[in-house]
Amino acid sequence: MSLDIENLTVGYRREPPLLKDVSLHIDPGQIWGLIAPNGAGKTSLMRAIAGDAKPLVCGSLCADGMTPLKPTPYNRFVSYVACDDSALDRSCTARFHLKAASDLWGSRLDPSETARLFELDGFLDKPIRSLSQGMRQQVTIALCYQQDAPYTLLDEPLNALDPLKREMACRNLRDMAHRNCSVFVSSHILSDLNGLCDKVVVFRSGTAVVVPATANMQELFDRCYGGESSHPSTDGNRPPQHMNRKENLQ
Amino acid sequence: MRYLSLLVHCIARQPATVTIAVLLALAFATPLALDCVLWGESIVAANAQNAYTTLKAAEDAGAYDSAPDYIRTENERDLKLLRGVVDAKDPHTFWAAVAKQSKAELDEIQEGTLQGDALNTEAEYRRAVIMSMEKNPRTINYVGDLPPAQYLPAAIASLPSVAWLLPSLVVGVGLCRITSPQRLLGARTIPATRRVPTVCVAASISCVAILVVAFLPGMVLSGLRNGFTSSGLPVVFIKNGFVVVASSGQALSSFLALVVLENVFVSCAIVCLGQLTGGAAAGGVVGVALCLLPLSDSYLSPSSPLSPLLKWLPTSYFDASRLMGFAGAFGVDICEGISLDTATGCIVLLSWTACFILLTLVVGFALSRYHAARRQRRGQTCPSTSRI
Repeated sequence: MSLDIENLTVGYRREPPLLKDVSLHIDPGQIWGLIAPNGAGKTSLMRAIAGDAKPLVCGSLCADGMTPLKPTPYNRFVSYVACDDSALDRSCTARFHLKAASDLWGSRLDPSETARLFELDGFLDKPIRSLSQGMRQQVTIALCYQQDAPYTLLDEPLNALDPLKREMACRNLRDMAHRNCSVFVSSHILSDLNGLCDKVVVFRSGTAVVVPATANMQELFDRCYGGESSHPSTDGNRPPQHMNRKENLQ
Repeated sequence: MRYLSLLVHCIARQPATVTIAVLLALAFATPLALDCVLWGESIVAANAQNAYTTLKAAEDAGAYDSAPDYIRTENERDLKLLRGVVDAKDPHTFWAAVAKQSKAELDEIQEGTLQGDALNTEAEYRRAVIMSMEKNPRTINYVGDLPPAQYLPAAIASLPSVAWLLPSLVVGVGLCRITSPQRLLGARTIPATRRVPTVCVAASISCVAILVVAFLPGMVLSGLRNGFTSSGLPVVFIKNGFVVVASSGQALSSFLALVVLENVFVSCAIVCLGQLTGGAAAGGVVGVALCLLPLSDSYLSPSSPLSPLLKWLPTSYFDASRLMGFAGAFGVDICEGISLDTATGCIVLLSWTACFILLTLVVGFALSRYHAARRQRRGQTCPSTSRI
């Protein structure tokens, strides 16, 4: 029972691959972090793991025995949510979205309890269009929680939340892991990943490498990408030169 | 059922859905306020008055003094018949007089002694006969005077046919957006074999709901104004060279069935394309093209290059008023040179809808298999996700 990613190559047509030979093995009940500079391929990797054929060039994916060849069960097992508001319908309410997530994923969780955990009660019946960006992000993370998928991929879920809400979100992500769900989370707010993740994925030499979580993610990021990381490589296949000097990450 | 109710709930909350329902409700009720003229008592009476005045003036001026006897006899008979129409004191007498006068005119046209439009005269005669059989026919001159069952076809016919296809465009495009892969309701946790038909059913239900909302206020107002079960005008019309007499129920059911089924077809075509492409653009463009195609004057023409196929094309049935007349419709041929009927229209629209759904499933699976095979040919072991 695990999410197995073997020799995955991620990229887009007529462009050099962003990542090659990515092999990851995510066990149930773990929280994995993904840290990398902008444009390095975080979202593409997550979408590829979710079974999206566009960024997926080759490799194999298997979630508890399910492959994307059978998309319906695979999509129930592996849920990817971009944490902007693109998953939400602006005319509908947060309550509607929680109920929809519950119905579509056959979740055993109570939507009203999820709303309480994510502090949505104050705006549960308001249309999404009337909510602030932070509130919409709260709703989106609550959706992922409500889906109760064994493997949840969260793309930058914390960037619009205030410090208190980020703490609440992290607490609920840990709760998901306690329920034996695995969470794969990318974030640029590295301080929030401190103490949250069991393992961290970084990009090195054009592939993804798993490193143990550290208490200081900022330090890990600096060690991996250094100051030059703020300028993303246009050639995703070619890592920043300083990466080759970091030999002993694991 | 859960997915269906989620989709219907979501589409019902879209601002565009509410807006189009309100706009169509206003458009549907407009003939009540604007008093759109029908081929009713006042027009028939005015025509008779004109003919009588002209004939009488000619006779008084001595135009027939030197004419042969048989012409003077016929002229006197015509004047007598027209005077009967002009001097009628109540609707029953009026229509009886019109029936007599138009029968005489029709006989003359058929004998070749009078030049005129035989079909139009026959339609007028048959209408007048039906009206004269009623003991106390109501005076109906405007669309707003019709009872609800007759108001609906007349009000639908008073707007361009494309207006009644707007619900399908709004619902179709809305559902494409709602079920795009990045949206929660587009999540592929339901198999395509269940998801595609469910989205189509949701589209159909939503279109019907919009049409009900659009029709209801106008029907109720018409009923309050004219009585819900009051009598109306007979449904007599000319179609493809024949005078047809239909019941109000036939006209109502034909208009309703065609408007509903054309919306079902267009909305399903849009959502099927949306399911294949993962977006709303392609479906929207095709939907608009489908709706605009039959608006062309040459489309339903016997000389059209498509004429042998018209009977089997769903777009031929988008204008219900070209297939079925309505009470008080003017005596013009609604579908000259082409044989289209409502029953065939319903079958064609339903068949095309079913074909679109099946085709979507088949094409979706074929594309998925093609992409998987192509990856395998390139030595890649990566499984490809389903196209739909």
